[in-house]
Amino acid sequence: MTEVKPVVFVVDDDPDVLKSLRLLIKSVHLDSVCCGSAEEFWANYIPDRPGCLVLDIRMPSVSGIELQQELIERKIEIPVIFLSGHADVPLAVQAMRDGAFDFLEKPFQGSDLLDRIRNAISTDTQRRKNLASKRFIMERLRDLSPRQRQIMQEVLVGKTSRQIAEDLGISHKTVEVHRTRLMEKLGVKSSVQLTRMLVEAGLQ
Amino acid sequence: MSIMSFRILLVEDDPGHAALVLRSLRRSGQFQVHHVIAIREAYRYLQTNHIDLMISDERLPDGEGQCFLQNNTVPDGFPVIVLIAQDYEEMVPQMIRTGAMDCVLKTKECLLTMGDIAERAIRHWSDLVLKERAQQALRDSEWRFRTLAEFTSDWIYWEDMDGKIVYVSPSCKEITGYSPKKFQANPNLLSEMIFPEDRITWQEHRHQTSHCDVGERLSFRICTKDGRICWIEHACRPITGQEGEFLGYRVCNRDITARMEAEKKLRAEHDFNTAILDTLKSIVIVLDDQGRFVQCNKYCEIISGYTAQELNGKSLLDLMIPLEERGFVEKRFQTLIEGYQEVDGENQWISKMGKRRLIYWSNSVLRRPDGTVEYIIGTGMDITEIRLSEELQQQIFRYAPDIMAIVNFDGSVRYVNPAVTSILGWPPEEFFNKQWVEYVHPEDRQRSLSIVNSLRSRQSSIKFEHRFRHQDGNYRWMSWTLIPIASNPKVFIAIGFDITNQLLSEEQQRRHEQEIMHASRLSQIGEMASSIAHELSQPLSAISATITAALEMVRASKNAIDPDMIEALHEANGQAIRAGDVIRRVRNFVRSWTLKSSTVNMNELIQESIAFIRKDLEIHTIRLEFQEQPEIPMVFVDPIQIQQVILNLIRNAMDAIEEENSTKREIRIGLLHENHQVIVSVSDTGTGIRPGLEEKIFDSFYTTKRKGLGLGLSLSRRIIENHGGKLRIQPNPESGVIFFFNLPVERREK
Repeated sequence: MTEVKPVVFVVDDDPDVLKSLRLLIKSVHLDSVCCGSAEEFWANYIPDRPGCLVLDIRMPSVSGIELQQELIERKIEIPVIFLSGHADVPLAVQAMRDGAFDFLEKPFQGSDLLDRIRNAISTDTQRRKNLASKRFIMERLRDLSPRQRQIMQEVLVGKTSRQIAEDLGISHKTVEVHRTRLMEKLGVKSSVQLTRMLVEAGLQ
Repeated sequence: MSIMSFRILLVEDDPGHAALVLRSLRRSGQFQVHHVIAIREAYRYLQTNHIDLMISDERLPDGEGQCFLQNNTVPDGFPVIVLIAQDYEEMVPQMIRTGAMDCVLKTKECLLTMGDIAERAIRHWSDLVLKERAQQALRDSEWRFRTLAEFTSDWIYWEDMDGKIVYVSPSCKEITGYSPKKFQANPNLLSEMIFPEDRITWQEHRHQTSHCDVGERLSFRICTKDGRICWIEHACRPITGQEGEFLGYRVCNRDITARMEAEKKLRAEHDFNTAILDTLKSIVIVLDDQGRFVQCNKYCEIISGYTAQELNGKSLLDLMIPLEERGFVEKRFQTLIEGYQEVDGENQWISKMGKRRLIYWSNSVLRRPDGTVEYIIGTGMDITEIRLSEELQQQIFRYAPDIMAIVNFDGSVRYVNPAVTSILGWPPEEFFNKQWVEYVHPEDRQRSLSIVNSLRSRQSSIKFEHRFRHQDGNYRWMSWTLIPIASNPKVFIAIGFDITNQLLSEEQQRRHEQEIMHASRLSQIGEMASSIAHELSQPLSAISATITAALEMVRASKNAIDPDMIEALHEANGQAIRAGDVIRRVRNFVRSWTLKSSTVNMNELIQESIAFIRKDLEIHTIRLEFQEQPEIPMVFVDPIQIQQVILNLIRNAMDAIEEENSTKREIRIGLLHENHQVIVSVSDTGTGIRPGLEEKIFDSFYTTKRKGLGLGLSLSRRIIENHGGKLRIQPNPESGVIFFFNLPVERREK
């Protein structure tokens, strides 16, 4: 799977701030999409690239908060870093409560923002990766026969093949065959690997 | 007049003399003469005959002529003329004394004039008889009269036909001061005593009564011995004897001074009573024992609508008493008639016009000597209004929320209503026979007393305030109105209510105003500071971002970079950070005024805000309209901050109206509830706003006013947003603009 280059979306109505942020993001070799308003953001949003959104909390017409609400409604899980203006803490708190990634009070330091942007991107990348592996695992799991899925459940709770055979009333050898088959299908070599894979995919 | 014939008996033994006498008597022609010659013969004759005169010789064969004089008295006997021989003249006086009417000497000349002598004797005798009879009658009646007269207080006297005072009763002394003897001594005494003005009347009376024999009464004044003026009622009656002969006057004088006075008084009283009865604002009726009208006064006519004539003879019960009350009114009549007691009571009256009046009656009965009822007298007061006002008064006193008291000027309390318990905790009885001043705060006592004292000389009421002790021991601030009572200078009325809470709330109000002013000032400063911070934070953010970008570029650069340049960039970043810290400190300072939220009714908050600015509105003659919306749910906000927003918007509206100087000077505040939001709108009829500036006006330091920082709207917007709402502007379709903001309805679960 080729790595998709992350992108940082910036929405701020102050053009000077916007310009400096573009420069800052460029300096660390990240792509940026800078917008002066929420409407502009929607026009330029690219859903399939990992990244984050740096969003000014206070803007005319559609505010940062309102944009966030729309993102939630559209089930777009892009991490949002709010830039809050003066004493907008109550708004920022609300934003955090609604799932914002972080917020920075203006005036902020460039380095602080960069740190947060990097965190956000890695989080988003991880999220996307998890989503992908989850999808992959789900596909493999679909290939398992019902008997294999049954035996996998027993394995995951830590039972030995002998115990499984006893419980299900089948031969030890049959259990072993099923077990080997399902491990092959899922591409894991041990029950430990199986457990880890499922946990990482958020299925366990 | 027919010729009278007088019968004469002549007793004479000498025929010569007898012949002469007979000749003389026959000559006059009015005498019938019977002649005898002896005493024995004369007596025989007298036994069967009545004579008018006897002429008798002194010397007779069977005795002396004077024997006829014995037992011969007026009026039962007859007159006797004695004939006396010459030379016996000395016997004459003896004869007269014995009772002879006359004595005639036996001479030729004398005997021949016997006719005249006889006539005179007969006449004289007749007079004597009359007189004697009168005196006899007088004596008889005098005796009866005297016994009566002695016992009466009337001054009675008897005047005989000659004007002599025969008898005066002793009461004359009491009335006139003069004794009976004085009156008898001076028959004119009475005339002399009469009051000069009344003398003519008196004399006319005297004149009249002496001519005709009719008794008459008259009254006149006399001047008594001691100078008093005394009214006398004089009644005189002629007295006649058995034969109808005049015997004089019997007079009864009665002292009527007291009566005259009484009459005068009575007359005055009667007039007075009639006047009273007619001017009386009470009904006075007189009914007979059957309850029928006999009499009534004017007021009765007014109230009943019937005239006295219409009422006369009608039954009160049938005419005026409503059916439902007839039973007990009739019973009252019965009690009155049977019970020998006065019965008071009230009942309704239906007037001629059908109006009902409530009358309070005081009744009494007049009885005949045998005890039966003659009249029922009723005095009635129309108490319809009185009862109403009494009830009203009672209810007012009982239910008045204020203390109402009747207080004596001596400091004691005569009456106080129950409100005293609810206001001051004390039962009303607490104050009876106590001095009210004892309950007054010591510092207020002197002032209170002097105010009450000043009321004595006033006609109008006084208001004052002082502290009065509550039953719980605390003092309450009381506001009193003292009202003097013109009809009773000993007491006054005091009306009081507790103003402690009012004073407290005034204090609270003042504090609240101060708080708002303070908050307003603080948030203006805060707004200014944070606005500056915001304005600076943008470029500072940009600076920091740019420097960071530069440093990143330098780090990634493959070319060698002058370390000084890197240091310079770091230095610049450091200064930007420092500036940011300053801003952050300011912001933290402002942020320390956190929201003090509570559950708020927006109706009240808006009313409070309006009250706050009412004076300004009046000065600028701007009408503010706000209709309370009782259904509006509560919001959970910081009331001071929201009030600040409302005040801000109202002030902006006022400024806009002032600027436009528009004719329609009106601010309207709207309040409504929609989608879990309470929406407040403030619309004005002012200048309005140029298109395109709708957002700009919310920026800090942006203002269209000559005076003003341009912070009001940005502050207001921030406050509303901090409360989870939005502040927006819209053009007013009429003129001016509408600002409106929404606040989320308080969520119960929170």
